[in-house]
Amino acid sequence: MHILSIRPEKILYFYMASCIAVLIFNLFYIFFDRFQNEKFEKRRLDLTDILTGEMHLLSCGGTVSAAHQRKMRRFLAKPEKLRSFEYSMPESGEDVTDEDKKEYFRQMRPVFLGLAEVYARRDPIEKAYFARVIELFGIDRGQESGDGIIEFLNGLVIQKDVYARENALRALLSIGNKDMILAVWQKMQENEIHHSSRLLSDGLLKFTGDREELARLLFAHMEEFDCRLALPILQFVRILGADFREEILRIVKSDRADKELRLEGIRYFRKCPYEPAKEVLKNLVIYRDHVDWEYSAVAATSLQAYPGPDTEICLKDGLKAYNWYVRLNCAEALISGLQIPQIRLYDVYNGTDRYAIEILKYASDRYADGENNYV
Amino acid sequence: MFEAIKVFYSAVGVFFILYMMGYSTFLILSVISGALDLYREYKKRRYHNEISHEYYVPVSIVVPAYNEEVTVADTVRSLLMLDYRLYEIVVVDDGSKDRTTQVLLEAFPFRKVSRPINRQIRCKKEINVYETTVNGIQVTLIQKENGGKADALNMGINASRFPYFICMDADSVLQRDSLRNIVRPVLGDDTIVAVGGLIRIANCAVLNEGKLVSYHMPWNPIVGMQILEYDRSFMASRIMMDKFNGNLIISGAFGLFKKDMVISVGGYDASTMGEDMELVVKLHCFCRINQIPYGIRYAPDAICWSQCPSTVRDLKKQRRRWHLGLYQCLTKHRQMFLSREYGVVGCLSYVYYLLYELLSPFIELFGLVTMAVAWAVDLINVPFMITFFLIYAAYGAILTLTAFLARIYTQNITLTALDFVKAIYLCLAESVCLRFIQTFTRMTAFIGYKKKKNVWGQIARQKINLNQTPAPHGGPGGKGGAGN
Repeated sequence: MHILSIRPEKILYFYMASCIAVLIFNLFYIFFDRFQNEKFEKRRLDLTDILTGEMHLLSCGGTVSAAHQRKMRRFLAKPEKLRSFEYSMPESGEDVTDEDKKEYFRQMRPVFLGLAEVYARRDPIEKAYFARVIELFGIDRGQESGDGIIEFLNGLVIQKDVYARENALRALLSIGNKDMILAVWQKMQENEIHHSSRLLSDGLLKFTGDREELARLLFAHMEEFDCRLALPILQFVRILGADFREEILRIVKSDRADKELRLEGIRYFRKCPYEPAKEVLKNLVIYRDHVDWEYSAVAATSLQAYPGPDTEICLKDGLKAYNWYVRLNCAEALISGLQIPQIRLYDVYNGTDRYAIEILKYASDRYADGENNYV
Repeated sequence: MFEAIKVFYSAVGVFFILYMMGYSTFLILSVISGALDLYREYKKRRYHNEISHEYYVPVSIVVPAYNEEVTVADTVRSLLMLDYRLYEIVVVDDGSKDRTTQVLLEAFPFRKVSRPINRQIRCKKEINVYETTVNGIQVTLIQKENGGKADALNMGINASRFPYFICMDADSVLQRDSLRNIVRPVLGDDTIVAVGGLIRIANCAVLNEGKLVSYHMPWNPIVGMQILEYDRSFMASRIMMDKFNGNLIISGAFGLFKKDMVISVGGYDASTMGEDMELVVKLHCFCRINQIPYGIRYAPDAICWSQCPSTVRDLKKQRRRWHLGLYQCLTKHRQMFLSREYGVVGCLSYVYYLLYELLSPFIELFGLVTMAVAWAVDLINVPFMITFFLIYAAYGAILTLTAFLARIYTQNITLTALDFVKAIYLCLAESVCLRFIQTFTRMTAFIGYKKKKNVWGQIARQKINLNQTPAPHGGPGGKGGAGN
């Protein structure tokens, strides 16, 4: 068949028809969406009344009726209705207390257990949404052992979709069981899941159980994880200020440890000063030409937690560094960290290193203007 | 002889059928997959599939300014209203001849500092550095020697403190939640080196403190046609190419970049007119050659409202710059063409921009000339050709309308019946008029190229009213940025 025998206008007709189909879908959705929003509001108001009634009953010593449970089991299986449920929860006040709500969700747990099975078969967006609802209403808060809901969440944690993973992680953290979190970390390691370390460390801070205990447990297992999963643990430990000084110093000293872990360790010693770490930090600044500049720059900032003449000498020496960030951090540490008076900086000002003078002057000006929000 | 002409016309016919079918297929696939993608995004938002953390990625916003005394203070004010936890603003006055620096010094309590700039990328010398803090957000103003927009951006990168930076134009307004949305892909995947935001035309939108209040199709057909064109091209060359990490353009009006990666490639190239595209292409090359896992993404919900040209004259100026920028970029990186080393970027994205963007005016001109000759020697079926072009124009119009509607409902924009009617008429007009303007401009873009290689068109600015943006429709607008 010769190419010129193809009728291009026929292909265009076909394309046009496809385009019109998408156009009709868009138009349909514009109207459907408007209609759905109106319906949503009505449904929300109705549901608020129903939920207030149920919670009233609970406050009077009653229980959630089997009929209500059956109805909700069917009702909440539809994501749009689950959405109206999310927005219908009555405000805590005179009519409904937090205790009533807790009791309501405790008694409704079998419904959510059944819903976990339903949503496990849905697309990732709806799965992630159900995980969010579990977190939002603390459905499994304080749960000691895992069942259908936990299985559902654990399944989501290893999904490809970042939102499904994130919502599942948040829901699991809201349960407050440290062993479950360790199991999640192990599962992510096993399945080589790469979730953002920033999200993981921020998530750990939202753990509703004992965070110190969680930090201890995760830190004890840290060697099982690669850097992407170990780093958030170390960040979590740093932010909490948990006492792992000796162990973290070993990481900082180790040449085999990952760079990011070592840097995090150096940052830790700013928050949790440890005398044996001081020498290590100073060496990173003094021998800056032999190490990666990032170690020297972060160490310079951490040294502000170790006042003393030797630190001052070390930081003044760091002002001569080739790297701009090392110089800046040394200047910041001297001026705003250690608050060294200008008179003790005259040796630098009267010296010959133009860059050192420049950066120190800049840091002093900023400090004088009452600003300390440096990187 | 006549046989030879017939053979030649057969060959031309084959080429044009393949060329037009290739483009039509690309567009239909883009619009369908784009519409599905936008629907998924919409569903995600509706069902709270979002990353909303308190601890955000710290971001530096770099605003290059050249003769921007009319808009620069309001731009900075609008940036101070962003809903984001940790960011700084770096304004670089690229040796303006007007009162750009003075206007900023009068508007904000700046103080002059002796800040040494960490020159990691080459740029012209700074003259003065000023700093201030407003609502906890650090604002830095650098007055430097004139060096062009790319040079000003490089200075901004050097002066920025955070690991990610945003480049934007001094006449644009970021939507309040735009920073939060543009950073989201980075939180999801830390190999991402750049994220493009969505540029929307501000001439028809009313914003109040960075929030969209209302949106109507404008009466000015030049503006209206550009709105529809932006919608279609964003679906085609952004969402579609995003699927295979093949985006070659992140608009200079709003994009997020990983600073250390940009420094590694030497920053913006001050010798090209399309420095924004050139940087993205360079990032692709660098990561692929060095086998660094990377991603360049597009965030359709990170919105920047920008003024577009409202006269044919300004539109032609803008498109000329774009076309020359494209030419400079594609010729500079010609090693990518069909190269296996660059994978899908070299084999698909590059080829698309080469055939359907850079060479399209010449191919179209060739088509017109051959048609005229064919008509002269009676080798063409005129009624068929006219019908075919009408079908093609109708197809283009329907496609554009589809792209437009997909964007309307996914962004919760309400349109009136009049807006809808205007959209239909503008789709038809865009399919016929704007394309001809564009083709003509592109064809003539190279006239005086050597002489005015790096000169930016001087375009008058409209004042931004932060409580009632947009600017009136009558005046000129467009992207200029810093210039030589």
